[in-house]
Amino acid sequence: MKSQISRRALLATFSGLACAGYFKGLLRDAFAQEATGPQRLIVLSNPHGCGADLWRPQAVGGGAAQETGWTLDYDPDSTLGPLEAHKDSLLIIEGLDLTCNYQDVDPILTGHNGGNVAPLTGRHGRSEDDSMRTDGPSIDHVVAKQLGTKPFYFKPLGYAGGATAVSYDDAGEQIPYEYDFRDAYKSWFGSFMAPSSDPSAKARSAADLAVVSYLKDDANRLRSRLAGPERAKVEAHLDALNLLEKRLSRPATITCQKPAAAPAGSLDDETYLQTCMDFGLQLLACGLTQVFTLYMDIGQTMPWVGLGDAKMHDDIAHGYRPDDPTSIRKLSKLQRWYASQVAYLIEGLKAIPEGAGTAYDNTIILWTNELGDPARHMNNNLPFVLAGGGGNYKKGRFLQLGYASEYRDPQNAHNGLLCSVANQFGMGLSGFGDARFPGELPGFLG
Amino acid sequence: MRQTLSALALLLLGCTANIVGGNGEQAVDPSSPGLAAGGAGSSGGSASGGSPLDCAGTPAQKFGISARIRRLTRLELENTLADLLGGATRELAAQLESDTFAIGYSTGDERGVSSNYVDSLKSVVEGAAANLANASELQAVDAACNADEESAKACARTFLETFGARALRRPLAPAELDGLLVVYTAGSATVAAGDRRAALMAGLTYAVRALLQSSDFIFRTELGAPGASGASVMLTPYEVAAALSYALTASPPDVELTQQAASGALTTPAQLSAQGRRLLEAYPERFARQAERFVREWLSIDLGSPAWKKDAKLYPQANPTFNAALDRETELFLRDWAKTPSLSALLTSSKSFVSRDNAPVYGLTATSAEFIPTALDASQRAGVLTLPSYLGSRAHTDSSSPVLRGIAVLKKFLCLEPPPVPAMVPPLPPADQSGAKTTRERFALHTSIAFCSSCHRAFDPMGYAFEHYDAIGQYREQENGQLVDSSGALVGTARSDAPVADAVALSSLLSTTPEVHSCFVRQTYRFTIGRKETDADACALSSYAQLFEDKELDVRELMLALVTDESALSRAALPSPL
Repeated sequence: MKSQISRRALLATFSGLACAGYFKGLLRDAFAQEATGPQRLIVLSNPHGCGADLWRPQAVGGGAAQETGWTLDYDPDSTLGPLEAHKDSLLIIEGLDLTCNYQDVDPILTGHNGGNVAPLTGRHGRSEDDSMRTDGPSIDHVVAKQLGTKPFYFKPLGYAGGATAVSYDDAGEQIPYEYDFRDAYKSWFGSFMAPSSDPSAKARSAADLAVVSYLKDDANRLRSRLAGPERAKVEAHLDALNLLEKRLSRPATITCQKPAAAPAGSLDDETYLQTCMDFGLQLLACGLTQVFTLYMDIGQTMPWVGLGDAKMHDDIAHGYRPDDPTSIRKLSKLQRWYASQVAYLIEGLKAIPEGAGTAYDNTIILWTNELGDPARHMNNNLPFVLAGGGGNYKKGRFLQLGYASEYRDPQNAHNGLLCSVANQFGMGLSGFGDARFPGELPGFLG
Repeated sequence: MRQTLSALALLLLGCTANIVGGNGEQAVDPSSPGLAAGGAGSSGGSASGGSPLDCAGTPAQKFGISARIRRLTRLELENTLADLLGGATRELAAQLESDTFAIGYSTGDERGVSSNYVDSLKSVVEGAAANLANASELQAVDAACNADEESAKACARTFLETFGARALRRPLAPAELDGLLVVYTAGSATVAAGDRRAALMAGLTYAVRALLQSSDFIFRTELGAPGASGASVMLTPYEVAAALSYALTASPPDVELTQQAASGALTTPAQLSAQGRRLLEAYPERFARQAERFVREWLSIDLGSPAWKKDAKLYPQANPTFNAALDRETELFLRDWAKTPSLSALLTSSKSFVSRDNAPVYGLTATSAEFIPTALDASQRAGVLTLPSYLGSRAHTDSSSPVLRGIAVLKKFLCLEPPPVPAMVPPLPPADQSGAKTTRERFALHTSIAFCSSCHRAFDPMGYAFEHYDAIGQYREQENGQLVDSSGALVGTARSDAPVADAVALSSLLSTTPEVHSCFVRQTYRFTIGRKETDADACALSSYAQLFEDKELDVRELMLALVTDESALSRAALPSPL
């Protein structure tokens, strides 16, 4: 079927859908043969907002930063300081707003819930009473389908616990994250087998594929009896079975070492996020996934940040005042620690050889937050940072789109960024999420 | 846990009527229609006010449910695998991807399948299929089956036909059986030639893996017979049997229920009701686990939630052993309650289960690790709302929370939603500068600000009633040297608003409040039917609220009635497939 559909026709379909979801397998298959560009998307998100004054870059020697030629490590507490060594591969964007959550939305659907639903979907919650669900997918889900890979979604059970989710499926339902290393190890590496010369291994592999073949036939029979959201459930099952089949049919391409055991670690541990990142890096290095989303939430107290016993949510985030330099500095200290974790991930990617360079060269990292001003729970001026060498947009830049502190001020919908990033993966979209905010982000390519 | 964030924001930031975005003028007067009703179908004696419900001419006890497929929950999968392949498989279900709670309950029919679910299911099923020897149908696969390949295949066919019918809760279609035999053949080939018995077993193992990962296994259908048409479809007797059995016992139909379905004896509410009653009597432990699950999900009692990572300086005793003991106590309390499950008993019983590990929370001493049924001080403890597991789930890591506890009563017992947390919130003075000595004083300070109290008066009075219990549910007479003031009030009802002295009095009042009864019916509906009610269900729900009161608030009777009425037999048809 796919060979009868031209790529032009598919692109037209996408444009019409404006990221409406329900892309299904056939588009992915059609694109796969021509895939170029970045091979991986890593999404990082963390709570507690942003102290903009110590977050935005500064000109070398002080003062307002221009688009290029800035520094991040201008203050011992500047948020992005730990990324100074990688600044040439960054795109830092200030002034993006979750406009979809409040512009002509009554009642507005902002706050923590809006800050979870919208950043990666570009859509607002369904209603006041159903505000943690939306009606379309998040960018990690969409790009994973485009790349034909099973995404790795992980979230330590930190302060927000199960309440937080930034990834959504085609139906706009929250995607459950993995949170337990033992389960994740078993699930991802359980059936991982090095190439074997054992003759029965071939028969076992054939039998495994026969099982999946039955499952697909069965799902297709059930699918043909369904419509609407009921049909979408079985189509999601089919999507997952296709990915399983793909992994089962190419074990020989996996050349990395299977880790001997599940990682260990405790949430009370300063290195816990790095353990999470190491596990994700392992999956990337093994080619077991190309999309990795990590919700970086550790807990209420993080003594290693340099804020003593302070509670990150109650004291630091809620204690933030845009006119109080001390509170800005405290928040920046916290967020600077998160930046150091992002730097750790970048260094990990740079340590994985790939082609003539490293895995970092073929990766886009999208790092975001749930809020801007955390004390007021503002859904505007969210901090967005892109990293990685993947994609054809120009790096080493700071896009200052304007800082508007109130919702009534002019806004820059963040949908454009999502659309731009998706298009880096060859999606050819005319918009992402809420159709009221179409197009790519102006100035993205540079 | 799922509502924690917005509730926290309310606690910390107050709530103002002066909201940017145009939603500020509404939802500020809890004494009259104003609070958002939590979902539709709120009339019929509910607390939300509004125009009276006119149900004249509406068919009684009939819900408008669409054709659908429902994915097994973790508990349902666990029970199903145990029935098919033995109790040793139970521990496997914990590896399955977590349940989701979009409607507040794991049973919600929005459940789909993610890639991670499929992979975790594969792992669970491969573990379960290794217990093939426990399948009762395997007895027919005797030594004669090993004679030659043809005999083996014939035995495999018989096994898959019978075991498959149990797994899929209906007879297999020819295409399904043929497909499974293809998998059987591929599986047999994984064994070196010569050992026919091993090849047979390997083939069956692979076929069982296929069965138990299939869409038709993980999704229970409520679609009617293939090809059925019309605006409404009659469910097949097998679908009716499965819906009944899973609703009451989280388990697949047993032999007798399946026989009733096969013989066409499941076509009237009376027949269904008789079978439902039989299931409740035959499987009291399965019902008890289902009832426990319902109450835990309804009240979000979750010892694994972040609220239970208590501040180790203030609550050093709240270690993993202690938390596990509170969890076990909850399990025993709820399963004991499920023997005669009335809503009043749930809210007023002062009997619980005490071991050496949870005794200190009650100021008791015990030496045994065993949990002993114990009569607690009835002036301090009354039902599930005074269980430490509940109180600690509705608290912060370092203090009690009148706000979280008040909002919980509002949402869970009155089915009302607090107004949304406003985006623009005024800064609060830091807690240590407030001069307050007790939690209540701190909160009273917050709510003395007019625009805070405009929202907080809708739930704080109910939360204050719980002030005798600290962050881990210990009873306290004093806090920081000050006598605790637990005087509060039930607010937000049309007829039953009244002051209460404490949580014991509030629990008692809740148990006799009609608005609570009708809200409880809605919660039970969501759990057992797996969907949120709509406006179209209001009249039916209203009749069930009456039934619930007529049945003296017996939750088992309510569940049974909800799943054995006319609605259990048919569904509104889906639009034609694309």
